[in-house]
Amino acid sequence: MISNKKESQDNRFKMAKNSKSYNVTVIAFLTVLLIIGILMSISIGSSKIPLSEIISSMMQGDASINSYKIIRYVRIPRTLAAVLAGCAFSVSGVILQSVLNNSLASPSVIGVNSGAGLFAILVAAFFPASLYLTTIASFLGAIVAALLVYLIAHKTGASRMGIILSGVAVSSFIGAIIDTVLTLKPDAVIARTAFMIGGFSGVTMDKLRFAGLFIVIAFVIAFILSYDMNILALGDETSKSLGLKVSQIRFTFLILAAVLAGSAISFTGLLGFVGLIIPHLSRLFVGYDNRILLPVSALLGSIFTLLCDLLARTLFAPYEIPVGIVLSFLGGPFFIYLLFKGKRGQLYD
Amino acid sequence: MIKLRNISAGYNKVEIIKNINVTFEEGSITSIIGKNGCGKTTLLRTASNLLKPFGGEIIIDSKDIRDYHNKGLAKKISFLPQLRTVPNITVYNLVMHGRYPYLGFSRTPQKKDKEIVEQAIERMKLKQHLSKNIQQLSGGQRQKVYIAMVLAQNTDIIFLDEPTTYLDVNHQLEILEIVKKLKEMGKTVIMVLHDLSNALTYSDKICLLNNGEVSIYDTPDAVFASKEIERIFNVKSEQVVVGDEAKKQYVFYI
Amino acid sequence: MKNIFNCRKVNKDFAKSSIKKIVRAFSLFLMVGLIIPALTGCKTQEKIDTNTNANTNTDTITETDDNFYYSFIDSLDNEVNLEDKPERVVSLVGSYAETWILAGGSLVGVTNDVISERGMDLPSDTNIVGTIKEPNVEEVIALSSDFVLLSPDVESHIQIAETLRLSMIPHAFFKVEHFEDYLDMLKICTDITGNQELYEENGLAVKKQIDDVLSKVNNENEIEILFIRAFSSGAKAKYDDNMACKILEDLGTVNMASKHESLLEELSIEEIIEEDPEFIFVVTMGNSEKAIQALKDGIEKNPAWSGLSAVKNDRYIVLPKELFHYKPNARWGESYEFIAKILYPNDFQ
Repeated sequence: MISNKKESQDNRFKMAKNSKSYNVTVIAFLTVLLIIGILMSISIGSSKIPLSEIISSMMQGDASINSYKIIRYVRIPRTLAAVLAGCAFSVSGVILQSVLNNSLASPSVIGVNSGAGLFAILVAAFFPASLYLTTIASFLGAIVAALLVYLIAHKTGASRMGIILSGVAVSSFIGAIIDTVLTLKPDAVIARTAFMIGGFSGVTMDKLRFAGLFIVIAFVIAFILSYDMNILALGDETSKSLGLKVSQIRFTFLILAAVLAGSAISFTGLLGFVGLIIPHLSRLFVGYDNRILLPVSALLGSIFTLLCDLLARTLFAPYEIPVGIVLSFLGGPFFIYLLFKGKRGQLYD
Repeated sequence: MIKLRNISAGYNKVEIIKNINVTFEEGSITSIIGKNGCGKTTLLRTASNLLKPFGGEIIIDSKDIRDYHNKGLAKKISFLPQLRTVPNITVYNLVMHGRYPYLGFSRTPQKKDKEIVEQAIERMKLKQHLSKNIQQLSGGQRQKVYIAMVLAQNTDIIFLDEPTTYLDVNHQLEILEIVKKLKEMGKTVIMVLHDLSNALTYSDKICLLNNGEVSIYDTPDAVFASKEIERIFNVKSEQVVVGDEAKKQYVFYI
Repeated sequence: MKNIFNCRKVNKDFAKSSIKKIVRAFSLFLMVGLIIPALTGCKTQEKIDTNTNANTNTDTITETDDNFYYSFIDSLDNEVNLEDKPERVVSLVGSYAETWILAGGSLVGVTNDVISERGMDLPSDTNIVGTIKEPNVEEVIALSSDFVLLSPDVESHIQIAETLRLSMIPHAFFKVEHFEDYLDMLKICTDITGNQELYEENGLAVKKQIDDVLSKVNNENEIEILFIRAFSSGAKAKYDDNMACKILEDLGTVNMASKHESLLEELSIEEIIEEDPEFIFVVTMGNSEKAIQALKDGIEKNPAWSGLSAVKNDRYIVLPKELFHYKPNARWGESYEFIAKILYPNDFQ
């Protein structure tokens, strides 16, 4: 009797969870939170500028006033970078976890991290002090690595496990190349450390424009195709039976994930956890339907990254902690908490 | 109607089935039976275009299967594999997935799609489980949901790979009764069945495979009379009559 | 009855589809909201370009333009044009802060290594703007800085140069590895501050000090030495491109690492025994005590270590950090004298 009651209560909850109005509420709520986060990020920083001054200097548009410079050239680009990076990594994580049916998947699994790292190091070693080259190089590196991963997996059937194994192999191999380069050119070690930790300092609108465009386009395409991700979750044979071109679609998604992560890495370096944790966190709220999961993860990822960046630059002002460290500090324990919560809501038993 | 001509197929260049020449008539139930490893699932997957054959043709309604577009074929053939990943999804959404071949670019279900889905769910008597997560259902109920999905897909030809394996006996028979209803709707059902008795009881035609080739393809009575089953499986068989309606059942013993 | 049912359903459907439309519009709005800042960044960018008077990448310029207070080429080949004499200078490198002070200038902002590494005594109103690795560009702008000193070896400096350029804050890169570099930098700094006499005092006088030392030394000598850089997690040999090693080389020594390049990665007792250098010099990085302890626990534990001539004859010397790890600047002459006294105790008292 008791179990029946609990079951029906659970059902009621599950019903509410999947209903349209619930989803809309969640998205609306997160959007508001994001807007608040953006406003906070612009108005708070290590140099305290009162809100009234922010508004007045931005309205006047006088480029010689310090507060204008700070808002325009430091805080706005940083805020935008945090939003874009958070969105890109989270959506990339959602895509990969869904398409590879592996809840531990994240952009690093398809080699984008190592690929971007390698190309960034090569630029640092052979063309030091060239800003834009690093940005473009790391983006290219990410895409090249992802293609390599897929190519190798394709030769062996392009199964989900095959892609993951191929990713591990390619990442290790590239890691070895990176170590070799660092041995031959030790000066590049400094660039590597900065890259590995990841951060938003010194980001400019120029850098963001190119990456941002890619992120937005890739996000839109992923959102349209998110229904196909749901179909893929039924298994390869069922998907094919329903008319889905499985290997084609899987390849498309991999490329989208690589473009998203690669674009973000090009201006922030590596921001580990976001792509891994945010999808899990989002699933707690809205379940597994990718049509909702994608936008919710994007919003949640942006908010989380904004928050971490804000903490990173205000906690010990004027000193800045690299964002990657704050992310890991907050994300790590939270991930452990998720694990303790048990197997509830996993893709597979 | 689906016709296989000189089909041979396999994996990694190894031939599993060969010289397959069968026609599955419209509105019939065919069971494919045979020993483990004789190629039943291979035959099913080849016929449903999940596996490219090494040689031969498959004709569906006078059109070569290769001339069909992905979604066009999905509207003609559906395939339900034996082992499936159990995703985290509600009953309603899973059945809605059956409409995928009919959804446009925006992938938004239209009114017609929703009607068909609701009808399929009602037909399978799953209405009270509409919003439940399928991971919460029993094996038998889950199977019904998948069949509802196949119904929603609205194909003329349905391939089922061991739809009753691992189910309790009552659910097994329930599913098989549903298969009979599918036939009444005019659908062509081809299924791989492990249970010989069920196969002989519920089918219009039996396709008995042995070592990758068709040993016999005929009505259950004819197949039983030929004693091929006894030869291949090395067992003895008896036909018995049970129940008030004098239904034929088959018993196998050593 | 069925009709009523359908009617209700139709209304619900209509409501659902309009909610869906709202959600779609929302997400579209969000996406557009991200693109517009990216595009507006583009437009005003062009405006800034024509106005800026900060750095451009040209190779020309040797005369001072009449319109500028001072112009020079920095170490990244950037043309640096200072409109007025800088009064609010920020140095993002500790040793450059010292050089600027030696040139008679004053600072409004420094990085924390001026205190933690150099123990410099600065006026209390000097602001800390972060660490050398992670300078806080917001603080730099907020200080209304009119000249910023940067290093091309620090990744974040290269990144924030762009932000400084957009904020129209003049900045210059300096690369100081050896004494000549310091001298060149001092010349530029004293030219800017107008204290040419300090160039004499803190530059040319030091040069004379060094020349005096070198004149008493025959640099054709080939005293065999080993130079070790030790830190808390290990120790490596150094020779090329290292300040202390150049001093050693000028004073007539041969660095055995030039013949045993593997020592640059890891110290090997066998190779050291093979050459048995006359002198072994050590410089510590990071925590000195820990570094020395690491050496004691490492290579010094080897029984063959005490058999080395340098160790037996008390010629295993730990060099002071402020003369041989951090740039000694005006004390460079002292560094030469320090080593000379050790190598040639009879010639230098």
